[in-house]
Amino acid sequence: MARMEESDEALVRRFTASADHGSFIALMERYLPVMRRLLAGLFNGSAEDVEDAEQEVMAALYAGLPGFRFQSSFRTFLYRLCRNTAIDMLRAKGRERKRMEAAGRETLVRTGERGEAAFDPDTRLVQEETRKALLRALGSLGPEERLLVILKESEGLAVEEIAQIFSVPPGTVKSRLHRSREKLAKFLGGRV
Amino acid sequence: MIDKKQAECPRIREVLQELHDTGGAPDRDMLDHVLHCPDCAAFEAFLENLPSSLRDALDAAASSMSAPRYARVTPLPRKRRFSARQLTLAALAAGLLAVAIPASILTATVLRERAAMQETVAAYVNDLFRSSTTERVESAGNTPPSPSQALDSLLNDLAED
Repeated sequence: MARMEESDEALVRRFTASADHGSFIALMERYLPVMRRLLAGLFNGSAEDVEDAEQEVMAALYAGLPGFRFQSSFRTFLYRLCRNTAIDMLRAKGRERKRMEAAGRETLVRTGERGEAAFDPDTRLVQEETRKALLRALGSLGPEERLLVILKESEGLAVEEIAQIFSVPPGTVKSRLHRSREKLAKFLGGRV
Repeated sequence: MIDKKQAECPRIREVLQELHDTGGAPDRDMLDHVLHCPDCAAFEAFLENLPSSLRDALDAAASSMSAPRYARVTPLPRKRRFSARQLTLAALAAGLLAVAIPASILTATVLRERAAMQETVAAYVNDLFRSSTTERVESAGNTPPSPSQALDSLLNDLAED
């Protein structure tokens, strides 16, 4: 008989009651792909930065989980933690500005080349180029805008849940999201 | 006519985004605009493809990452929790100590007092023995008797008295 999957809440409660490492790892395994996508988007796909950030998030989660009061879902709590940790890291490292400038320059160059790429016979190469272009375009946005787009478009979160994560009204999320998508579209120049 | 349509583009894109967020369908006027406006058509296509393209790009970026390093997560100092059995044993030990400590102090005091009393009695007996022996030696002019003889003599004297 298949073992029923424990809810996030049950795992969190077990971890906070007895510091059960197994529950913590089970939670992490469940959310690792999402967490990595978020961090990859925030850190422009840099594996080194993403791994560092992942470590920071896990340490912060391990320390902060006993203080979790179930006032939101665990998912919201985790996304908020990812956001805060990643943004703190980006600020502390002071890389953000350089990365944005580099991404902006490179994206403009790539956008000019897109006619050539469209005729590339190798679909895989085109696909790879599209991915890179999308990540660069994402990197041209600010960290908050990037996270908004990822949460909405890649993770499919509702505007209301994103509003909870960012602690802002849903209307603010919508307007920021619209602006961010406009910027992305402009950077990509119809490439995606 | 074209200018009028182009002026509508920002509004049309705003509505396209709203529809993208809510999952609604565009009305006939909008469809007509998108059909005749390449920029808005491209924007609509961008919105439609964005979720899958973005997820694909992020998955590809994350796929090169190594396994998570759970062991490096700093463990919190584990909260110490005592069982009922441990608590009972601790209470018993505390009770035992509460009785044992005053009892040992009392015993030590009694023993000390008894030792002092014994010392006093011994000194008294010693003095008594020394004085009676000296008297006998002086009166007899002989060598002093042995302690057992002296004690016998003392006991006889006491019995006679």
